[in-house]
Amino acid sequence: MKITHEFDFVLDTQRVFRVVLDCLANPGRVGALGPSAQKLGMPQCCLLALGATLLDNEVTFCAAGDGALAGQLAALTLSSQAPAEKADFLFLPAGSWGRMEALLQAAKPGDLVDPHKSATLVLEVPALMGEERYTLTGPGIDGSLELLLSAPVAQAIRARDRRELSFPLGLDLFFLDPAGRLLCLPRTTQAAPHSTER
Amino acid sequence: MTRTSNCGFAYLDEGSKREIRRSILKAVAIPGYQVPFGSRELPIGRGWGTGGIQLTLSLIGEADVLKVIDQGSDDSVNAVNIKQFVCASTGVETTYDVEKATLIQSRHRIPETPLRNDQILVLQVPGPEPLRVVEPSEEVTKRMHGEGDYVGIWLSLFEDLIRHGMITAPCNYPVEVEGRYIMSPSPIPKFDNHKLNDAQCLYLFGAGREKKIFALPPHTRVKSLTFEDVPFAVETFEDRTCRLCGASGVYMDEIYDAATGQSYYQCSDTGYCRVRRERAAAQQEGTAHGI
Repeated sequence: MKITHEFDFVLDTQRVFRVVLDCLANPGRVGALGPSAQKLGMPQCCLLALGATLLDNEVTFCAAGDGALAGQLAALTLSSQAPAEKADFLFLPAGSWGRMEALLQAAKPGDLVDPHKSATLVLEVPALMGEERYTLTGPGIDGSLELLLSAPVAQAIRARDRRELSFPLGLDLFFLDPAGRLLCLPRTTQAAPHSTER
Repeated sequence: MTRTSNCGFAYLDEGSKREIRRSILKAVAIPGYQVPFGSRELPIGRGWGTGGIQLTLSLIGEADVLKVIDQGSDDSVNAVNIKQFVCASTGVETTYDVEKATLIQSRHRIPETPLRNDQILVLQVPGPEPLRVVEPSEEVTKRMHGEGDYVGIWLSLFEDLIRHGMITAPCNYPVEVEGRYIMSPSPIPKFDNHKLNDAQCLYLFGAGREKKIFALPPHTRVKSLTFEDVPFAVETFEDRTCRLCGASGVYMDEIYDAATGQSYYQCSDTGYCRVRRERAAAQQEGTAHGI
């Protein structure tokens, strides 16, 4: 029998989930999916590990035109694809970054009665941290938190802000870098850019 | 500990865990909002903590240290059975010391020792809907939450005040989360309500019979409902000390001795009381040995 990977769909998905939960409950905290995700031993393993943790045939996903990723996610999880405006989970691999704005504009934000019927976006970025200074506030943050975010993360935050969604409607953003580091910004997190002017 | 059950890790099938995990993430992203979920059958009757158990089983991993309490007690039948059930299918270590626990499941109390950011408190919830006292229809209460229509609950508090001169709810006292949702904090005594505000830990609430999950992330603003001219008041145990450990300023159980007609007080949180007594004994032993 050929062993294709060592990822344990019971124990590793639990570990991945706890990292995601920790990052979502404490926005701005960076968690590591790498140790579990790398056991998949295939390209885009971090996106796939997240998919294996959260997707199944009860929810839908959109892979932003990345056929290989969509195929792998469907094969691993039995989840089916849906258009961006209907999908429960939207995966944006780094190679499809040009679709970020369109994806964020299309994603479903839930409604007042069922705000949980909103999309979660998983965005792959080259790096989480960079030179864009932001102050984060909201539940999960003790007062405020200053971070130097990378340009793609800041772009996605600005794109989300342009939707002007009012709580409880909103989009939850999960950012992943190639090493499997995870940063979560739920809809409750307000990210204010610092002015570069002195 | 070792797993003694032949079922899969943490009893639930992976599909169930995934759905509960997705619901937990939504609950954390929308603090105070009740996320519906497909509550599973468990080898325990609904209403006996199945919501909390399903959360615990979906969260727990091999590295966790579990503590289960029921009305503050580590040794009640419900707490012991839940602990044994979870351990049989996971083999995780258990503790009564809150400081050693990473995952705590509780019914009706929040431990006296402040929880840390790396700890998760799972609360069992019999009735998650704070608006149920004013509206029997689930469809209508969902709409009321959506519209932020909380006139009914304010009116019920006002009526209580007019009738009794005080807001009488001793537990399950409604709170406002981040200025948006009104939430039932499960039947914790209102003495514990302040522990929800700006806490270090993550609170997860599971209602198995009512099929709802809701959450309070760390550092969430939680305010007990009250009127401007009627301050929120909690139970006081002034001049009371625990007969076992001597603690004061904590939530106490009153124990009545029918033979002598006397009342005794002791800590409701048995783990807290036990750790205090153990530390006092160790300190005494150290003093006796001149350490």
